[in-house]
Amino acid sequence: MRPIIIPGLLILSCLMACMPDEENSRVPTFIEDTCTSIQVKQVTLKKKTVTIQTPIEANLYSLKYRVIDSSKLIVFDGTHNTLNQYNLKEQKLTKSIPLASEGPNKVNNLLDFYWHNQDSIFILCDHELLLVNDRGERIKKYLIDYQTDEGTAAGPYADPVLGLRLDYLPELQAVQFYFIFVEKSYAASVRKKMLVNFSLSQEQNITSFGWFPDTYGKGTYFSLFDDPSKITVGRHTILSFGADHGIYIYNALSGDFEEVECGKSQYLPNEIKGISLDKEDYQDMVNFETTAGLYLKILHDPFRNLFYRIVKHPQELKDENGQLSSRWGGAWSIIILDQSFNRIAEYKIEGSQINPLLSFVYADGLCFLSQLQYSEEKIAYEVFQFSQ
Amino acid sequence: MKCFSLANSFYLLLILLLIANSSCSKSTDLKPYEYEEGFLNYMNDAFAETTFYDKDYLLVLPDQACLACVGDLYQSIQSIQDNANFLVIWVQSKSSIKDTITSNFPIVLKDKEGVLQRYETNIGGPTFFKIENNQLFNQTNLNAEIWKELSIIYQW
Repeated sequence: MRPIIIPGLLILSCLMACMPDEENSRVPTFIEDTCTSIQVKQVTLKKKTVTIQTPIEANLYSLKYRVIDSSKLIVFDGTHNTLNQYNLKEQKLTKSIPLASEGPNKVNNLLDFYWHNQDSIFILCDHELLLVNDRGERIKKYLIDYQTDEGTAAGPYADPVLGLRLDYLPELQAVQFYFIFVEKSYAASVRKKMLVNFSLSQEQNITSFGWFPDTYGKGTYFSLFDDPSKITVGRHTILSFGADHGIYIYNALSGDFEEVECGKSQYLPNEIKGISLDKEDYQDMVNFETTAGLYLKILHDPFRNLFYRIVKHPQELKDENGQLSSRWGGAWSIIILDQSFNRIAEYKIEGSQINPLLSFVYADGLCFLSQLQYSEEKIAYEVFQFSQ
Repeated sequence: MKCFSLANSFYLLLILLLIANSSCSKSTDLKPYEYEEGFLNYMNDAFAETTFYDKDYLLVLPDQACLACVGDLYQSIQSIQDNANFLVIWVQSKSSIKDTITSNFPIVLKDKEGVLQRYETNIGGPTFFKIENNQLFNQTNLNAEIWKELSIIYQW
């Protein structure tokens, strides 16, 4: 038997080696040449400034925020462990929801929250998903299920700065979030399905889906932009990656891949180069984030049926004084897309006007933290209202 | 047989002492700071200063994304008794926490405008340096555990 098995195995392994690499063909590869032209239509723009009397944490990376009911901005205050509600029309704080800081109901390391209604606020933490009401009372605690089709995840992650959000799927009675995988190599980590739908009734993951595009895992990494921007709108989950021109659309319920659309900025090169994996200094990452042109996030505007893709433009590492350029202080643009992800226009904003790390959509338009009127006592937002 | 065994024990002890000595000297080896030029430019621009006040250790405390993550470290820093040899720089803080934890240190430089981020210094969080002959060595990113290890190595 043995002499037959060994040549048989050899032939089989040769055949397998000749087969196409399935891992690299899970979503259609984006063809750069077809992703250059842009259909420019006329858009009208109205601008205004909204100011809120509130202090803000100095470090924008840690901000957790979400808009509810068309004009209420909820911001998590990590110092006091509260969810603060600001009315953007009245421009004032209207409510503060205390979350437990100690004891069994403690909210530990809040990653993101989803406001379904006043009785159902989902809070995603490192190891658990909490359901609380608008008095801060805990209704239920769900333990995170780390097991997915892809093996054991390192942990859930969400980042409102990148637009990587916790979402709720009413049809499935499930929440949807992103998992980080830590494998032996970076390339292996980004070959895992990254999203899960977690059933609230079964208290386990029922769907794993969402692939990184081929741009990732090729011997380089993208620092802050290693994680995607993810939003779910109706039955679609939309993924936008910092270093990839495509916008990837999945069926949010089944997890099936549906299509990839061209979302390229005219200000970015065809190939966005990352940092070599052997460069791991913090400064390497800062320099990359300062100089590279990348896609920060994708936002949905339900009031005007538009999507916005926020683009950071490339810039020089140092200014005329030999100092590092402000990492987020360069030029930005907004790619405006219709409901079918056709690009309508790209609107450029010169440097030092806005900081899109804090950006959101509400009834009056697309809001950015103002760089022009920033102070310790109050936040000013620049509001852009586009219409076709 | 007994003599042989004693000799063996002696050599074993000698080897152990050598290993212990080499591991001690390893922990206090001075590793150059690759970004010292950028840091000196920063010191000069932010504080009009390029010396380290004849101190032995430098602590740089920038703002943190997650205050809860550095709570234990800040507590350890605050409770240190022998702090006369430390120079502290804190960067861009609106909260009073850093004022509190560094109130007992003899020299605290305050970079309220966050000028640090305009220089290539490779500093992104609480960081420790050993100072020798007005040069910086052994850049170490801090957390409570590492602080504890350093306190054993440098015996403060």
